Amino acid sequence: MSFSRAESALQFRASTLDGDLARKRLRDRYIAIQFPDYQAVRADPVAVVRLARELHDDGERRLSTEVLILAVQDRPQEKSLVLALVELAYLADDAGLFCAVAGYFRDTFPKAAENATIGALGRHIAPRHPAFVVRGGPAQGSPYTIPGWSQDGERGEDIRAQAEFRHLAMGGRHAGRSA
Amino acid sequence: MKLMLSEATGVEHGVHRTNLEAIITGLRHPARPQDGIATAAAIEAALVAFEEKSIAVRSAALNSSILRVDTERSEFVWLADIHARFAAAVRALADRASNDDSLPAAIKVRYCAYALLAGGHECKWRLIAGLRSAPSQTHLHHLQLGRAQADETADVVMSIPIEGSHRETSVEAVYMRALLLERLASGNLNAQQIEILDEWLLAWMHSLIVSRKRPEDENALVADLTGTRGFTLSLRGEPEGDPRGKVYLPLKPVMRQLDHAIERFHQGLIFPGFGLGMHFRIEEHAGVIDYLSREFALLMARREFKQPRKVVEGAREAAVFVGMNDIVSRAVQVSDASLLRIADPLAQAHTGTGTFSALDPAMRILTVSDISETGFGLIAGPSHRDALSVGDLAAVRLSAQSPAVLCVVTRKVALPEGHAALFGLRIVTRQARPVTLEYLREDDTNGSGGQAARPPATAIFVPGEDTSGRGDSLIVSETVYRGGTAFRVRFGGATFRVALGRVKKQGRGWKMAAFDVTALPEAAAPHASPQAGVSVSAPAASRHRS
Repeated sequence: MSFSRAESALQFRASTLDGDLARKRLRDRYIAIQFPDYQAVRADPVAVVRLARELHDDGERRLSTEVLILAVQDRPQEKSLVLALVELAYLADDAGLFCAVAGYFRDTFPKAAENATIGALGRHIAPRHPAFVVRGGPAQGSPYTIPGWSQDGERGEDIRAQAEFRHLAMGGRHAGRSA
Repeated sequence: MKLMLSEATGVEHGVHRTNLEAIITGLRHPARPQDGIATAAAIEAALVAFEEKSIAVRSAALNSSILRVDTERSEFVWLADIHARFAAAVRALADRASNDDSLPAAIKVRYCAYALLAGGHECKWRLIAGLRSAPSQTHLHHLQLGRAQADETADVVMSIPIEGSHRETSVEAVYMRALLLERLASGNLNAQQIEILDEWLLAWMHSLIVSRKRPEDENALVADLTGTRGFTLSLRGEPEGDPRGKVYLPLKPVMRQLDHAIERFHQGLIFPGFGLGMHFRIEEHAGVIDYLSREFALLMARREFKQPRKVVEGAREAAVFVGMNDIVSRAVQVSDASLLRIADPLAQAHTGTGTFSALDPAMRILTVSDISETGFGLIAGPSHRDALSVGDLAAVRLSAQSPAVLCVVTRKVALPEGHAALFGLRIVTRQARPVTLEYLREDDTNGSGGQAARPPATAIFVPGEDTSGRGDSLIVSETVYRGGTAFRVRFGGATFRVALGRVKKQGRGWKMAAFDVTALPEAAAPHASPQAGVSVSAPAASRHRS
């Protein structure tokens, strides 16, 4: 289930509250309560994308979408945030959200090279949408080719340590570590 | 101080109560009962006056800082009672109007709307007071909508005074508001959150449109006007009986309204901009957003989200532990002899009771009402009713031998019998494990140093679905989460540095967080952990998200 008002929410600019302290405080308070982790990494788009990806992977797709929308409202010129939102909408097979965000990206960054990739993804997820219709046949390319915009900032994980920790926490025996 | 305040406002409350009683009396004995149009105007005036004169009492009750003690509860019960009597008086006039053939349908429909509006208020205050909504009351709502549908006026838009100003609504909308309150506010929300929910529903009334046809491509809420039940879930694609007498509420428009409310908070505005909720803490609003988001997600998703419940026949008992320390030390400890002390099967065999030992003061014995794959329904009597609240972490054991099931309390409803309460618990994991977290000294950058001055903290390891450990979590108390985000954990000879990360779930006094784990060199581990579980400490080296 996605955030149904992404199109209008993306148009809002947090900077418009700079002259209204009461509203700014209320927005900040809302963010601090709902997204304490976003509050902590607000200035770092890479960390924000990582947070959104983690929420998405945990099945919290609405929260994942909302945190990226808040981030776009905070930093509208930060292309990576919108691209992550496009990709997560694609991965969630949420055509409505994908089209809304793709439209926003096209309008905000009309000359960006990524528009071509978004168009290719759009032809898979929303082939009948006017923005993605292609004359002369179905979409080209594999629908499983993902640009990786939502994986920015993902750290290489110590898979072995994770698995060992889990094994021992669940009562398994420690076999000792080899170099 | 509280007593003095209470005495000072007591006289004022008395005046308000007298005024409200006078309004009800006035409705019971209208000046010109023969004049249907004048009576409709009198009801409208009474609705406005009742709202105005009750606002101080409602506000005082909802903003009370006193804990949920009997005096506060009695205030809620009184408010529920006076709203019920007011609604009954309005309904009596509406019933009379429905039999008056001389009245035009345009006037009759207003009576229905007033009756449903007052009925919605009654429903809300019953729920705030922790009383269940009576089936007979739901039936009365169905009756009013049925009357308006028969007159083909159910969707006629009219302007009605609500919360200080005239708002456009219809019989359908006020009917939906009453039924949604019943459905959504039965045990999951606190008093302030129910008030907030109601204000949102009042603001969303233009979207609460009744459909007589089941939506084809989505799940919907359905009510049978010939019955006494409120909304139930109608699943997409599932064969359904006779659609006559049924009304449906498509969920997507309501969901869009929720998103609109969220958007307002993004803009630094409190939705909807009227009502007592404007003065409540933002946390309460956020609580309503969280609850509605999850509830609608469940309703809109496929049925497997909601597992069928099996009603437990007879009186089966469960041992319940509440609070981090008791859960860790008494419920989820691995192969700990204390468990046998808590509920020694041999002792049970000797006594022949087959029940849990009553010797452990941390253990509460509740009666199992129903069980599903995802949770439990437990009934608590007067002695344990107040020990659990929505948001609490609890461990449940169905027998002395069975593993502790870690749950979150998601629902609390007073049972009709009066002193007992039904709790809904959602399972977090059946494989909880205790973990000991060691704080590291500030200057200990590699986790190899001795233990910090602070004593170790307890935590609960919650394995995720992914066997790689990627989705694993740790549950810690709020104090531990605030106190340090990284710790050292030891399992025999193995030592790890663990850094707490994003909060995945939280409730009263606890947080369930993702964590990054780094293996420390084995030589760095000074000695084994004092407990059978795991222990952790806190520098800031490379971190790996779990």
